[in-house]
Amino acid sequence: VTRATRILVVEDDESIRELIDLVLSSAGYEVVTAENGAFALQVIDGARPDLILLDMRMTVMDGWEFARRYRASPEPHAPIVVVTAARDAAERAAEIHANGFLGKPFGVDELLALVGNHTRRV
Amino acid sequence: VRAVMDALAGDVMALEERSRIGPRLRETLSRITEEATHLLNAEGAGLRLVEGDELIRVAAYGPEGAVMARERLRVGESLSGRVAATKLPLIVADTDDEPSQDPVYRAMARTHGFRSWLGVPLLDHERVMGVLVMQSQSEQRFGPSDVRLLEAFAGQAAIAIENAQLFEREHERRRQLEAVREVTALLASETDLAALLELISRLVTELLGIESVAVYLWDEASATLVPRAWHGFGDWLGDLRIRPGEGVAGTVAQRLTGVSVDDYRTVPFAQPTVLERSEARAVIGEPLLYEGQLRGVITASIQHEERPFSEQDRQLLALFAAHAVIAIEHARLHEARGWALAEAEAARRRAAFLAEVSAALASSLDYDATLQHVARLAVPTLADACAVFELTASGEIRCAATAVGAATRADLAEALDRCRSGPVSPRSDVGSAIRTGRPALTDVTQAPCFQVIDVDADDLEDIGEVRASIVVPLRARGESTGALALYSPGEARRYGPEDLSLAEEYAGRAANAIDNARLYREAERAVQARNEFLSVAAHELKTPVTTLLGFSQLLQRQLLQAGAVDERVLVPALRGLERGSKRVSRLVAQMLDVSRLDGGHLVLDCQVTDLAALVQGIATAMQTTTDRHTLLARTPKRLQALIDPLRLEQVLTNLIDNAIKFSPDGGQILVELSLTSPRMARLTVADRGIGIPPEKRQRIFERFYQGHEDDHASGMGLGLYISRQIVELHGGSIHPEFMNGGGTRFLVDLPTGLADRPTRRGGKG
Repeated sequence: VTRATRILVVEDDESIRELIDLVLSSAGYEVVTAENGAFALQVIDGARPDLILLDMRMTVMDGWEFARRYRASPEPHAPIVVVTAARDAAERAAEIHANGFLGKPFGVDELLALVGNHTRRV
Repeated sequence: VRAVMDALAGDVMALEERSRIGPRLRETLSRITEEATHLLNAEGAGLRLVEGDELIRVAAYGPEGAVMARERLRVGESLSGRVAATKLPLIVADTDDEPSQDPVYRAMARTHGFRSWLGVPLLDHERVMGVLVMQSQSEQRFGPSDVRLLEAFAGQAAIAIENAQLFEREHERRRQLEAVREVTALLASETDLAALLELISRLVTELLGIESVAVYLWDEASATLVPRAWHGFGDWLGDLRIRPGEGVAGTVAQRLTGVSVDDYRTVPFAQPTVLERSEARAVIGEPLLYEGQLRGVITASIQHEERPFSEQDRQLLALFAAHAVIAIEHARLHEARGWALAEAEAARRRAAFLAEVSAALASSLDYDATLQHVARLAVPTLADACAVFELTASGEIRCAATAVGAATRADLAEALDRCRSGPVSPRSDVGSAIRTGRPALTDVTQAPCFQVIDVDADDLEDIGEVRASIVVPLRARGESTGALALYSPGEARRYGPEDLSLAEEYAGRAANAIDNARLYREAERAVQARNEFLSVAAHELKTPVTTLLGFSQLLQRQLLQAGAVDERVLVPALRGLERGSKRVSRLVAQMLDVSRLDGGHLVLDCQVTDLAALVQGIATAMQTTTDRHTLLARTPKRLQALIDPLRLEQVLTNLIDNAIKFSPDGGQILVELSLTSPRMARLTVADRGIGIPPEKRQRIFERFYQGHEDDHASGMGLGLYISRQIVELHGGSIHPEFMNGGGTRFLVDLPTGLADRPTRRGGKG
C-alpha cells in the first residue's frame, strides 16, 4: 500500500491556505497546512511531505528562514515551490534555491500542473 | 689788491644774471662807456646803475680790469657814491687828493697810473639812474667844458638805457611766459590728482628758484584749506587745516587775490604753527580760481634768507596758478570719471555674478544639491564663509548647508560644521531675519555674530576673527523659507550697504532656486507615492483575486468533471469567495478614500448620533470575526455627538481590526467611550498584543506605512492613515499609547459638536 502524495502548504493567508488545501485534496493529494515557518518546522518531521508549497512573507518565521533551517536538517529534503505575490517570483525562488515558483494570482490548473510536475516521480 | 680785484671780477657773470641784463642792454651800456671815452679823449670809462641803495657796476671801457674796482658801492660811498648822493658832477684833478680817501680806488688808480677822474649822474628827471665815470692818466685832465659835454652825453645815455631796459623787460616777460607755457604742458599730461599737486609744488620751486612751496585745496565741507603737496616743510604741514584769514594762504582764500609779505615773522595774521616750525621770511600766495570759484591756494616762501620776492615773481606765480587750476580741475574730472567707471565696472561684475548664480542654480533641481550650490556660490564673491538655514515643516531652524573659502580659519569652519548638528535658536540673527523678513548687517566687533549658532560660549570666543556678517532672509512666494548668513573673517572685508543689497539680490535668486527644488522634490515624492500606492494596491489585490479565481475555477472544474459539486468543497469555496470579495471591496474602498483625501474630496456626512450605541454595535459585530479574542465595550448609556456614523464606524473597525491582528495569541480587547469634558468624547481601543517596535512608532500614521511589513495581516498600510484623516476632519485627534511589555492603546478625542444646541433650539426643536 502506497500512501498518497503529501503536500505541505506553508501560507499565512487563511483564504489561500484553504483554497490550496481544497484544490489539492479534491485532486487526491494529502495536504498538511501550516500558517507560518515555525509551525511548519514543528509538523514537518511527522508529515514527511513530498513537496512543500512555501509562501515567503509571513509573520513569526518567513520563507527564507524556514528554507534555511529546513535545509540544515540531516533528513532527505522535499522539493520546495515558492508561492508568492511578489513581482519577482523567480528571483525569490532563486534566493532560496527552490525547485520552482508559482506567482499569485494563479489558476487551479496551473497549481495542479505544477504540483503534478514536482511529484510525478513519487 | 690784485687778489681782491680778481675775486670781484669773478662775480661779474653772476651779477649780470641776477640783474637780468639782457644782450640788448649790455650792448647799449658797453657802447655808452666806449663812446664816452672817445668823446672826452680819456683812457677809460665806467658805468654804474642804481639798484635800491646801491650802485652796481654794469659796464667799463679801458685797460682790462682797470676801471671800477668794485662790483657794487653804496650810495654815498667812494667817488661814484658821492655823485649819486649829490646828483652833482664831481671832478678829481689829482687822484692823490681825491676827497673820499677810498683805499681801493687809490690802489687801483695807482696800479693803472690814473691821475684824473670825472663822474656825472645819469638822471631820469629828478631820479638818479646811475653814474658815468671817466678816467685819465693825465693830471688835471677834466675841466668845466668836459663836465658839460659829459652831462649832455649822460642825458642821451639815460634815454638809451631806459629804452634798452624797457626792451629787456618785455623780453623777460616773454621768457617767463615761455617758461610757464613749458611747465603748463607738463601739468596737462598728469591726470592723477595727487601726482599733479606734487608736480605743481615742484614746478613752483623750479620756476621761482626757491625751496619752500605749499599747495592747498579748498575743502567745501569743512570750509578750510587742506595742504595736499609741499616742498621745504615737514610732515607736520599735512595736519594743518587753514581757515580763511589765517596765514598767507588763508588770507589769499579770503581776499581771492594774491598776497605778498616781506617778513612772515612780523605779519599779524601769521599761522602760529607755520611761524613756530618754519623759517619763512618772504612769502607770496596766489589763489587757485576756477571760473571765479576758489579751488585752492599756492604759497611760495623764502626761508632763512632775507630777500623779498620781486614783482616778477608774483606775476609768475599768478600766471602759473591760473594754468595749474585748470590742470587740477581736469585731474578732478578725470578722477570722478575714474570713480564712475569703477562703479560701472562694479555694477557690471555684480550683474555678471548674479547671472552666473542664476545659471548655476538653474542647473540642478535636486534639493540638497541646490542648498549646497547656494552656500558655495556665495564664496568668495559675497563672503569668506556662508551658511544656509532652512525653516523646517516643524518650525525649527536648521543649518542645511555651509561653505568655506580656502583662507577660512579652521575654527570658523569647525563652528559652521557644529551648527549643522542641531537646531538654531529663534532668538538669533538668523531667527530674527526669518521672523521679520528683514536682513541684518552686523559689525561683529560690537555684536558676536555667532549667536546665530547655539554652541558653547567658549567656542565663540575663539571665533573672534569673524568681523562682520550679513544675514538675509530667504523668501519665496511671500514667505520666509530660511536665511542666508555670510561671514567675513579678519580685516579683509567690511560689509556696507552695497554688499547688503547684493546679498539680498543673491538671496532672492537662491530662495527661488531652493523653492523650485523643494516643489520639485514634493512633486517627485508625490509621483513616487502614487507609484508606490499602485504597486502596493496591485500586490494586495493579488491575494483576494487568487482566492476568487481559485475557488470559482475549482467549482467549475468539479461541476464539469462530476456534474455536481461536493458539499465538502462547495461550502468552503463559497465562504472563500465571499471573503475574497469582501477583501477586494474593502481594499478598493480604502484606495478610493485615499484618493479622495489626497484631492480634498472626502466630505463628512454628519448627523446627531448616539456614539454609545454605535460602539456597542461595532464591538458586537467584530466579536463574531474572532473566537480567540474577547471584545469588551464600556460605554455610557447614551452619548450624543454630531458625527459621520459610517466614517466613525470605519475608524473604530480599523482600530479593533488592528488590535485583533496584532494580538495573534488572542486575549482581551477593551473598547471604552467616555466624556472627558462637556464637549469632548474619548474613544479608546486597547489590546495586549505584540505592540509596535519603538523605532516604528513615529511613522504609523503615514500612508502605506506598515508597522509589520513582513506581514500579510498589515494590509496596505492605509488603515491608520485614513482613520487619522477622518478623526481630524471631525476636528478631533488620535494618538497611540504603548504599554510596557507589549500592548497598544489608541485614544481618539472627538468634539461632540452639540454643546450649544439644546439652549439655542431647545424649545421648539
